[in-house]
Amino acid sequence: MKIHLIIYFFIFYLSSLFSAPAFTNVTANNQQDILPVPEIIIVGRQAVTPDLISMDPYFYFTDQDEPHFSKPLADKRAWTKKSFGGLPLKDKNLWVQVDFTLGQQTAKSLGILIMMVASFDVYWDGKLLGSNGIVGNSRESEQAGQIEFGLQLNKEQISEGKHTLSLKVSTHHNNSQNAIGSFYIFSGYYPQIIQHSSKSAMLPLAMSGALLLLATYCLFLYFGVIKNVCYLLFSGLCFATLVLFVLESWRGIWGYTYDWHIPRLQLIYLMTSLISILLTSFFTFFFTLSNFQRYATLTVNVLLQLSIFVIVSGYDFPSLLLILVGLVTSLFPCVYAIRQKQKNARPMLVAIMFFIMPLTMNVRLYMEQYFFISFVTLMGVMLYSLSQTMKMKQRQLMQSQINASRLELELVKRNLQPHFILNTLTAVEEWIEESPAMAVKFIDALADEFRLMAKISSLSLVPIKDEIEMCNTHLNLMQYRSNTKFQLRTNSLPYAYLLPPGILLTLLENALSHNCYQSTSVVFTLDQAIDNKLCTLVFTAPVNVRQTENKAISVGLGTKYIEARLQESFVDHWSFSTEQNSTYLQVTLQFPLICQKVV
Amino acid sequence: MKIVIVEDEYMVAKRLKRFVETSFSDININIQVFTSLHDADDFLSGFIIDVLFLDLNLQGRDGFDLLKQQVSRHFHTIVVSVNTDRAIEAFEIGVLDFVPKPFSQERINKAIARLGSQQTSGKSQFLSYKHLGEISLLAINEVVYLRASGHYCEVITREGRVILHDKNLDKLLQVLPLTFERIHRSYAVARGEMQSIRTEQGSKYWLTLNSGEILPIGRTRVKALKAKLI
Repeated sequence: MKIHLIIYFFIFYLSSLFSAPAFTNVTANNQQDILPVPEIIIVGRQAVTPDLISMDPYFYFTDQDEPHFSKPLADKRAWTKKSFGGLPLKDKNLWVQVDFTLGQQTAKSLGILIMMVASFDVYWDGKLLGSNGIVGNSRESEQAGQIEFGLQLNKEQISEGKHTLSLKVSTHHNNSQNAIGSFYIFSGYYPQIIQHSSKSAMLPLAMSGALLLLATYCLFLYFGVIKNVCYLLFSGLCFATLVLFVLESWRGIWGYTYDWHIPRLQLIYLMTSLISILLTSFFTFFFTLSNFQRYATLTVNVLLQLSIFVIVSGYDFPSLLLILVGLVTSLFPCVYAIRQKQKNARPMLVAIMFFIMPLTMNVRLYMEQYFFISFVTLMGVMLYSLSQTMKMKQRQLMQSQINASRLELELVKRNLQPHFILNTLTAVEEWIEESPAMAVKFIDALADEFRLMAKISSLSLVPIKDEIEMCNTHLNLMQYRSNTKFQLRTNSLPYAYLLPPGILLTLLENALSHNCYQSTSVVFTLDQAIDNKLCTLVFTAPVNVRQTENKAISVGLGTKYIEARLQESFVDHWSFSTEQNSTYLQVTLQFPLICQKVV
Repeated sequence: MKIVIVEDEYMVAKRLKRFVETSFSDININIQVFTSLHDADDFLSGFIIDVLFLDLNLQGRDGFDLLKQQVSRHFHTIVVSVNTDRAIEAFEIGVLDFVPKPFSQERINKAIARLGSQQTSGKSQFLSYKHLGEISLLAINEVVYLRASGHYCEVITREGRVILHDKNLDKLLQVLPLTFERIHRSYAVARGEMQSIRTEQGSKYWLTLNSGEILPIGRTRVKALKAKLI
């Protein structure tokens, strides 16, 4: 139980470690393909003063190819001007130019980080600084460059004044249907720039450790201890989130050539879709809902996801929408559970609202500051609720085990009660003196009863045949003791169904102990009927005691035993009713049909 | 001798009846066997009997209430039960004997011997009596003296109350502790309540009690009484 809380606090510890400023980087990184990202991104926690290095918020490009394009062009009127964020993808190679204005420089080295789905050569004021991949004229001749490419500018290159960055770009490895590929340039202190991506990947990676632990733990729980589908779903959710985190941080940690960019985004999209459906599934299965409600909720989720897939193009923004779909469709089971006063429903709803609410205020801010902390909070609350349910389940399990052994004891004890055993011994003494042969018969009958009792008492369900045999053995014993002929008449059924042990025996004992059967022959009947997967047993016993005297019949201890046994085996799906008049007692039992396994 | 056996176990009843018959082999006895107290009730209220052998499940309260009822009646009650843990309580409310199951012939003989003996079981702490149709218990140390009253017996308490008990004086003395002294055919007094003996002309003797009340002493009993008191 404790480990839940430890993990729970661990996640919160992590989230507090990487407080809001850190999230900025991560989310900026995640969202650069879709959101209107600021033209100049200042990297790291210490802002670089703008006059140190400032970059034009736009770039120029052309699909003409001239060797002097590597040098700063004074006249770029023939070129197309465009804001950062997207680069048109064309079959032809492109030239791109960006202008920088540098202030008075300190000794620190400056650098540029280029994120572009392309291979390119980089020129600074006309001088080749480096190449990312090999620029080529065709897919064959081009070698794909890295998605992120960092360059350090040496002291001579950062003189005060205007500078021009020229890129010779080829994008033949691009496999996107979109006409625009992502394109950003970051500039600032070189060490901060190159650390930027790996730094921003730190939190997701740190989270990954916790998620892996959680996912594995829940999986073990599901397969080892508690067969509750919620644990499997939660484990799946953790795994999917883990994969998402790894995919997100792949770029910053390991990097990859730009032709992998789209497949990665597609994978991220897929994982987000999976997380969305898992989120909804978790809530629908965590709370007690009808199957119809469950599948309806999931269908709504799937339909919404499909429509987003059809309507909204791109990758990152629709991914966010998919998560929202998951959350919104999770609201239904939560609200329903609250109306039903189910446990943990309120904290769950609060966690989901906590997730969604900030989004309504400001999408940008949300993505930058709240997404992670909200997601972590939600997971934390989900985990806490799960652990609470587990605690409750375990308590119930323990209770039912205690209950089962108590019932077993109660059944066995009947034959050990002084009233039964000492009266029996007295009877045996009488036979030994009067008729030793009868004594032997009686002891045999007693042995039969003990043997059967030992066989059935420890089971939670026994075949009806065994129970009837037990009854007959008991009647045989009582026959000897009371000098009355007892008989249990039953109809035979083709089914070998199961019932809790000692139920019929208890009815019989009740009837025997509350009546004084002095006639020479007493017949009990057991009517068995099976209809629509329901067993109906009708037990009838003759009554020969005045009503006033046997008030205890229907509320006897035996009745409590029967009810406890039925409840243990059939949890609320049973009925037990007693009807009595001056001549007979009739007990009707109903419980679900469970057939004996054919060995 | 009229005897009633209440026992629902056929074999046990058979055995008990056999033992009782054996025990009384030289006396003419009449034994009635019933399977429940309820069935025996009509008989018990319609006939004068000497002793009831009663099988009771004394586990619950009901059993004891039934037992108190029997003990308050005119006959002696001998309990035959498996609930030996309740024997002391049964004695306290005035049963003549408590026979645990399973029982032997010897044990039944012993119980029956008590019937005729002056030797009391002496373990009673309470006297069960019927008052306005309800069974009440009176602590024995509240009893000052007993006065015979036909088939019944009057019990006089410290508070001066007079309780009519269904048992006659002889039977009552058999269940009461030895501290009660028979001073007269019709009187028995708790020893602690006696103060002085006064002799009158014509060999008449009187016992003065602590309360100041004066009771007659039987001529044949005065000697033994004096011996015990001095």
